[in-house]
Amino acid sequence: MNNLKSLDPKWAWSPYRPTADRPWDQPMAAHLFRRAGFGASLGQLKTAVEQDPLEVVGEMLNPVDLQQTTQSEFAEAVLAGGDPKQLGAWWVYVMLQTPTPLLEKMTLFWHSHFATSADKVTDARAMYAQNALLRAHAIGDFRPLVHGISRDPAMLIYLDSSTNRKAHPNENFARELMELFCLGEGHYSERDVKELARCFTGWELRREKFRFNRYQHDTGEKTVLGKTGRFQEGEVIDHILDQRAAPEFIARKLIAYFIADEPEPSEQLVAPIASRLRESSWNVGDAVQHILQSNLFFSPHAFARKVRSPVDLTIGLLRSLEGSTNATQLAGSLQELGQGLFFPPNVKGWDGGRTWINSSTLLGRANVIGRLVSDPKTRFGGGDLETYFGQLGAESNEQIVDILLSLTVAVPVPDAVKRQLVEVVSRPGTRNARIAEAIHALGTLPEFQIA
Amino acid sequence: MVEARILPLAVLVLIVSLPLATPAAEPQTAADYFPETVVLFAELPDPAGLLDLALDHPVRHKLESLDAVRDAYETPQFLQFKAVVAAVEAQLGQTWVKLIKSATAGGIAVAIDAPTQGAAVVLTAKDEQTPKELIESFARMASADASANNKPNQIETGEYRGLTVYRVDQARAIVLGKSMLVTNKAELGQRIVDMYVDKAGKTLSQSKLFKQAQKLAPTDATVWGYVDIAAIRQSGLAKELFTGRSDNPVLEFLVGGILANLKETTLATFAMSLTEERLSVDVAAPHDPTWISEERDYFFGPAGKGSAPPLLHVDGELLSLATYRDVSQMWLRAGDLFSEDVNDGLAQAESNLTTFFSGKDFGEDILGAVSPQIQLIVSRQEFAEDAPKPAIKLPAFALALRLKDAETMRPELRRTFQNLIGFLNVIGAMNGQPQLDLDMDKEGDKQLIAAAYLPEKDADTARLPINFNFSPSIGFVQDRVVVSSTKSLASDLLNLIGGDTSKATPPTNTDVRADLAGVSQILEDNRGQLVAQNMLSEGHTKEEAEMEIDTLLDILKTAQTASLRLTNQDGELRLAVELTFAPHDSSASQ
Repeated sequence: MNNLKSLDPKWAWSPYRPTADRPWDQPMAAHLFRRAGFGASLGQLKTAVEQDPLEVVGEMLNPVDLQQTTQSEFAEAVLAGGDPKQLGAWWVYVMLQTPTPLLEKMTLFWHSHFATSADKVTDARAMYAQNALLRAHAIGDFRPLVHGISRDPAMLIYLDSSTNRKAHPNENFARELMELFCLGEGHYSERDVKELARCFTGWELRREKFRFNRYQHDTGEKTVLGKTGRFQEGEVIDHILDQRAAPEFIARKLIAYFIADEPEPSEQLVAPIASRLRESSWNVGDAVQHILQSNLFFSPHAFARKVRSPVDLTIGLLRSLEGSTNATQLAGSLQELGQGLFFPPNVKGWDGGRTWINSSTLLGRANVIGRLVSDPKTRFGGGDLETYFGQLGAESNEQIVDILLSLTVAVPVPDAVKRQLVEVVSRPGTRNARIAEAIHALGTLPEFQIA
Repeated sequence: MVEARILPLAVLVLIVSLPLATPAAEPQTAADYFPETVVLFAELPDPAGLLDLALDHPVRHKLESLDAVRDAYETPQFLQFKAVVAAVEAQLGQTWVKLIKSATAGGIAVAIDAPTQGAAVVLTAKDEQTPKELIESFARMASADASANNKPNQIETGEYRGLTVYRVDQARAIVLGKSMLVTNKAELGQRIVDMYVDKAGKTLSQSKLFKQAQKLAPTDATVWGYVDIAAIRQSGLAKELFTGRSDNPVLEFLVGGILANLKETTLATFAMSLTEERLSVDVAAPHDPTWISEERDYFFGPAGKGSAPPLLHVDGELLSLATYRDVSQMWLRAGDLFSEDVNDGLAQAESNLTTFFSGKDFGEDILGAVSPQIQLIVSRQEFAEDAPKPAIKLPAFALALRLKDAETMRPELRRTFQNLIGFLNVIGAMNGQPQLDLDMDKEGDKQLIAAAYLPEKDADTARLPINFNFSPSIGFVQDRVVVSSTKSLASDLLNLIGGDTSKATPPTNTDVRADLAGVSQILEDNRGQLVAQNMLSEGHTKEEAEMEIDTLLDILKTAQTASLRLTNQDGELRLAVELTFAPHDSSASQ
């Protein structure tokens, strides 16, 4: 049983040192790349196991600046059409090609945390600007991210806060700032919501841009979370972030994102990560590094303890096999599976975990995998599956299945299942089509749904 | 049902050997081989000439200079194909080019026969020896191949009228003197052989309809053909084409008159000519204005006398169209032209448009206020270096019309245009879109009312939204009105047509000219967007996407202009389409 409550926090968060019981090997590296990115190719895994695991994690936290420039030029070309749905395709493409997958994985984390949907916002440029804001601070400081999001046009449109007059303070943003963004339920009162809403009066949008309307700002004294004052500009945001509950709330979400969907970690387990956030002045990258380098992360408590989100499922498969595909179509498939990028379902974002799977989505997930690998536009290492596995040194059908499983599945599959997959690859027809069929079959397995 | 197996059969016939029977007198033309019941006939009189032209065509040289094509020549599949061709050439002792030239020196003819529903191909060589030698060579190769692969020889032989018939599946091949006949129907083959041996029976060349077709077709065509429309119509094939109805307003507007002709005409001819400079296709059919029912008067005009105005030409022109269409009449006769469903939709549209035009009846008062001579022009937009420019650059377009009562309609249209701009601004404001600023210029008898989007102070003026392609305008000069997507094009057209006194251009019904080099330039203007879309839809890397888009642009650059002209004169309806090629820069392919 996975009992995070009884774990010793000191052991849990101590840096992982490979041992005979828990060696730094290919499966362990694959686990790291699945969680801190979207999977890795055989070549990347082989390189990683030659390095120190802590060094590998360190490299993951160093984004390449050049990539940002390339992405923004590409995004500008996509934005010219003004269609938010194309932004989803753009992000799929970026996730597939980025040399810094952890950055994208964390941007996706914040996209669900500060959920904003283009279904309501409709302005592609505003949605892209928010995405750029999330990416800029994804593994940086949380404080400027919250300040930025509170003035972000897409967020203000989404929360109906484009006008906020002192006569009728809009409580939407104030409530979500405390409940969903910084503190969590139970750490504020209704009075705090009303008082906080007064602080944001005069914060409004004019022609899709943030504007502070001093004439509509309530300049009177307010009492928020026990502190009374006139709270100039974003002072009240800093006050919220200074609450003890704030780093605990974010730390808990980060642990769930990287370690396990369930059960909930104990307060004792959360406390050291919350402390790091507090002590590092809200440096999220530092907390993430601490989690990814920990004993807990490389333990059975984390291994195969997460249900793959549709993004993890599809992008993960492609990245593991060095795949590229029709990003527009894949973005549509993600929408079908309930994780449309730029289209989260509500202000709470995606619930994740077990909610990804039900009888309908399970079939849908397998079908999407089947479509993806049989699409002529999907290429693996620039070519077809047969050539790709040939390049990886797989000569027999058994070797093809072995490599496929080692790259895409977190837990060993039963021998009978493995034999069935080999049988699929051995059927009559072109080898390329048969490997695609085997991957489709793999997509139906319970083992493929977890990471 | 006609089986489309002509090409495989052409190959099969070369894989059999043939002892020749005593030939009858050689037919003089390809049409002499076929019975008069043939409903489709096409002839390529000089395949060798076409082959020489194609192999040395400037477009081919240009395409071969493209990196993508060079890469394609290096693919394993192409190299394998080349090896097979080389092996065949070695066994035959001549190149494939020489082989085709000698086997078809007298031309190639294709025919489809109605009673037998069969297809036949006749290849005529330079002499009687050539087909025989070729066939023997191929027969040896086929036999050797069958033995090598331990397979039975699938070629069966038989005899008919003293001639050896070679059969593979349903395909039959016979040598008739210098010619080789290949057909997919035994009955059709028998008829052709009977006529050849007996020198009797009515041939296609003796058919009255065929002779009429020969007069319609150009004499210097590279390929020409004839279709017996009456027979096809009677046979019940392609029923939809001959009903004379389209049930689609756009299709009706474009080809309604042609559909009316197809309902009555007896035949059609087609001819294609290829030179180093151009490719042209000409389709003609007999035409009688009395065939056109009253409801289609809008297309050809009363008594078929309506004709298009001259084409307009401006700098940066991409497409210019001039046509005769009495749109008001078409709108008012919709009840006779379209189904109930389409009419319901048009009634709804009329109701909305009537409201929009301040209660004026849209069909009668608005469309009826303009003459049937319509001119449309599309041109590339130039954006100055420091001027605001949209991220996606679209071409400008404008419609030039002649008002029947300019004094009355000018203020009506001006007011409607102002209402439209106001409406767009209200809708735009609701959706956070930029607003249009209305302006009016007057110079002499020219009046131009234009609306323009103004960028916001802090906007990135190099990447403005798509709206900034438009500055909707309406202009008046004398009895002319110009409705344009941009002020600049409207202004150019007002200057152009202000002093224009040119009249309609009979017998032209529709005239279209496209500058394909300009189209290529528009795509070049939007290369960044095209590359991005290619990356998303194909999963390509940036470099791969750039190469694919650049190849597409290079291919487009091989063409220079395209034109289409529909004429109605001297009892014939003629559609002429022409594509001209860009001059070849020989140094580019070095």
